[in-house]
Amino acid sequence: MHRVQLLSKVTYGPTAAEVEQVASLGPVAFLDRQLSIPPADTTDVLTGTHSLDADIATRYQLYNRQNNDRPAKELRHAAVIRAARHEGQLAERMVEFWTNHFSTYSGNSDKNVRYAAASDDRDVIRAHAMGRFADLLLASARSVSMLLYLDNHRSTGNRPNQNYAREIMELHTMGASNGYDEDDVEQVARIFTGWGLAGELDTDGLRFDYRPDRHFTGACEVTIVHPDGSVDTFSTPERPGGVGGEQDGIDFVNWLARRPNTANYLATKLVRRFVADDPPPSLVASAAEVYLANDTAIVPVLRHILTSREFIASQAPKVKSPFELLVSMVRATGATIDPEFSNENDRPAARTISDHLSRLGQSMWAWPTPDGFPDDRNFWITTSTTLRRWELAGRFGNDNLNGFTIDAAALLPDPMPETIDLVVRALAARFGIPITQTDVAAITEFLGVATDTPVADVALMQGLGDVIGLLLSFPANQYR
Amino acid sequence: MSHRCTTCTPPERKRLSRRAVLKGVGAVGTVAVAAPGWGSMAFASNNATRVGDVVVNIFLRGGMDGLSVVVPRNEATGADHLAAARPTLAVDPASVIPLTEDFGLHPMMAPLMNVWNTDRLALIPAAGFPDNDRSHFAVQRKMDEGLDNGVVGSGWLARHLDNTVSPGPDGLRAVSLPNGQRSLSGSSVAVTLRSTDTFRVDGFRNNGDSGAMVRAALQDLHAVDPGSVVNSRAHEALVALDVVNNAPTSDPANAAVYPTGGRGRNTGRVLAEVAELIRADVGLEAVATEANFGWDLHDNFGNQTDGRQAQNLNALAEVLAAFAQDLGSDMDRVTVVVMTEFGRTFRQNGGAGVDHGRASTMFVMGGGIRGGLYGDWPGLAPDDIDRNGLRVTVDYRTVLADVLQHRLVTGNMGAVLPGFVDDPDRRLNLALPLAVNA
Repeated sequence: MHRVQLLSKVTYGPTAAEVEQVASLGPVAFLDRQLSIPPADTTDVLTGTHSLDADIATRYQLYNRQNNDRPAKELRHAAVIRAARHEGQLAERMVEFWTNHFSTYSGNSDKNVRYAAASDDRDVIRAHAMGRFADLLLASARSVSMLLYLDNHRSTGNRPNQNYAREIMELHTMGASNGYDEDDVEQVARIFTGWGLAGELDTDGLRFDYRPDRHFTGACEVTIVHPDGSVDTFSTPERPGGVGGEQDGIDFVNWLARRPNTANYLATKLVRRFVADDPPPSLVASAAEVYLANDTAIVPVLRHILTSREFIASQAPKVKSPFELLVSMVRATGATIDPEFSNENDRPAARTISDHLSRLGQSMWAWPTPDGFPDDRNFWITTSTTLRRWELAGRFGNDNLNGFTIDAAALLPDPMPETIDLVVRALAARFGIPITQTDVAAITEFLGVATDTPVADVALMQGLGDVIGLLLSFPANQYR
Repeated sequence: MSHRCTTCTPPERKRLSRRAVLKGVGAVGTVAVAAPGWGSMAFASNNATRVGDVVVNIFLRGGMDGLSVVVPRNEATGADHLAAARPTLAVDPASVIPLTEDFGLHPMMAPLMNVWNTDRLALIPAAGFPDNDRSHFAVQRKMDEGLDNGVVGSGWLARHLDNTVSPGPDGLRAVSLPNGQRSLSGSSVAVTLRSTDTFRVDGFRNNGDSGAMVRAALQDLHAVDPGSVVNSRAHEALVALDVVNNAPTSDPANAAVYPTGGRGRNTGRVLAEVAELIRADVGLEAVATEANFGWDLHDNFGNQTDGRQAQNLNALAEVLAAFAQDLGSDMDRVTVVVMTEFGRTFRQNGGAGVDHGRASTMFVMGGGIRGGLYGDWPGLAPDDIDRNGLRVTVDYRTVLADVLQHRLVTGNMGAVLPGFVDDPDRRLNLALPLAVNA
């Protein structure tokens, strides 16, 4: 019972090897193993000229004459290959989760986020995805892409910019109006004044730099009211000349990461991601306790959620996000993806990945607002994206995705059964899709034959791509 | 000296008056003569299935600054305070396009003057969310749902459709473009259209007979569990495919030109498709879309000729003007409502931008709209300012209520705007009552 649940929620669609592994190790050891593997960190996932291992100045040199979206194309290309191939499936899932949690938008030319996004992916998200949330939050607060995106690098004591201050509380830690008010937003904006950037984009790149002369010199006080009515206060003394202002910000991040409201907000999002769109309150509460008891460590919280009674009992299906759908189809069909990337011209695979993610509604690193994509089936599944999900399935079946290679014939059962219905059933089983006799009949009717027609009498190879496309279009394949 | 009493505004002073400043359009109740290109008010609908107007809701996500849209021109309305609060960002009052003695339109919004001059554009410069919440996401959600508080899980337009009889056969009653809009969420009749020309089943090889074989198979495979989101959307998609693909196509009419580049490109394309669907007479009643030009200008707000805000406003004016031009006399049965979650701070910040504020400008455009400036002007003196934002004097739902009642003939106002206290004395009366259909 737990095995199927675990495989479908921990992986991007289990491979035969993973099914075997969970059978031989047992679910507990399988999960432990997944929890112990960090995200992919090697950069040879792409070949050609790319900037996964570059610094910001080098990336600027590579991309400043290119289309705004090209650096994000590189990231999407790498993300799909990593998620499809990396052994640490859970870690890659957490990379997707935190990338969305700390969403940045690389599409504008005027903020320069695109030159920093791959560094953020590598040095912030991947470095801390399975570590401590407090460290992740601090790394994000000092990340060049976040400082650019939410304008904190321009925030000064005289004229604080509230953009980052608001979102670190609303989106990164406690949730909207969850215990703080507009006064607190003002106070937090002051705490982060002077947290900015040094360097030049085109020569030595940009890096975090604290500027005491731009820090607010007065005292600050932030008051958080918890659901039980208790009150927490964080205060900083006067800071003449801005001396000590950087440490105040670090202390604030560490304090914020350890608030019960933060624990509750993060637990809600994690349970929503791994269990159900409507998170069971009991599991949220216990996961929040585990988070606080483990000093914001992420792995114990995941272990708690993925071994919980509520997780095992949960029947509510989670709809696959477009990224999950795409990666799951790569894994189900054994597709190979051309790893060649070019900073100058669209290579087929990179374009295919970006085009389809966009049509399906998940253009990663190009969601314009800092809240990230909603984790909600009603957001992912619309009439329009339904058509595009079917199209993607049809293209996988027919090996009709530029830069991808799919060998449909290799998916056929061996030895070949005698009648066509059994071929359809074998393919469905391979994709992990439950199928009824009515479904089988619908597919054989599509092929223009009866269910019990001998395989030899069916023009199978002509129809095989579409049959696979229809199977991957099944409602069951939209869920994980 | 400071604000007028908001609770004792006499009903006849619904239009913006000094602190309330009057626009010199025809007096309330008179119908202005239709200008060329707008057809006559006695428009005979060729769509027997529709009672009210087609409503087109455009949400400007990100929080649009309204103080640079309807700009105070003199001391009485606070131009001097604004200049002091925004030393490098305030629009120069000498450069605006005069709307009244006291207010002018941002010079880059000149394309909208074609609509203003036909008296079919209402501007509500101090409209907004009733509560002082400045989270993009919380306020957008509540406004999409037509609320002042809480969450109900369905959009105000969805509930309008649910509570309003559509006498004709099923067509395409509502669309969200280019992605799902929360104002229509929860509606079983709303279809999401990324674009009309990509609305088809692609990717399969056996596309003989226009893909009928594939569609039939997909229909069968989604037959059980009809209540699930996946199967519901599948059925709606398969039905909508026929409607959309069979709708007659047309190019923009009346020499209308939508922007093909810049910030207005996507919204221009969306509105061109909406106009096409309205002309095609597919039974459309409600459209929801968004214009996300990058309004959240905490930084790089820019100057009034080629800065970010100026470009955004120019793009907005261009797309709205092109839409009105394109529809021509069909605009008599269309009402466009443009809204945003909040305006920006009164004073500029350190990054030459403006943070999250309070009131902003709402736009209502259509053949059944009385043009003019509406609502009380709260003023910009220190005591008038609401936590560094323009004070909200018009609850956004007051505007929606006028449109819902008079243009959409909604079946149940209480269900569409739950919790809204519909005080007749606070109504703006910016919409003409819909003429009874022949």
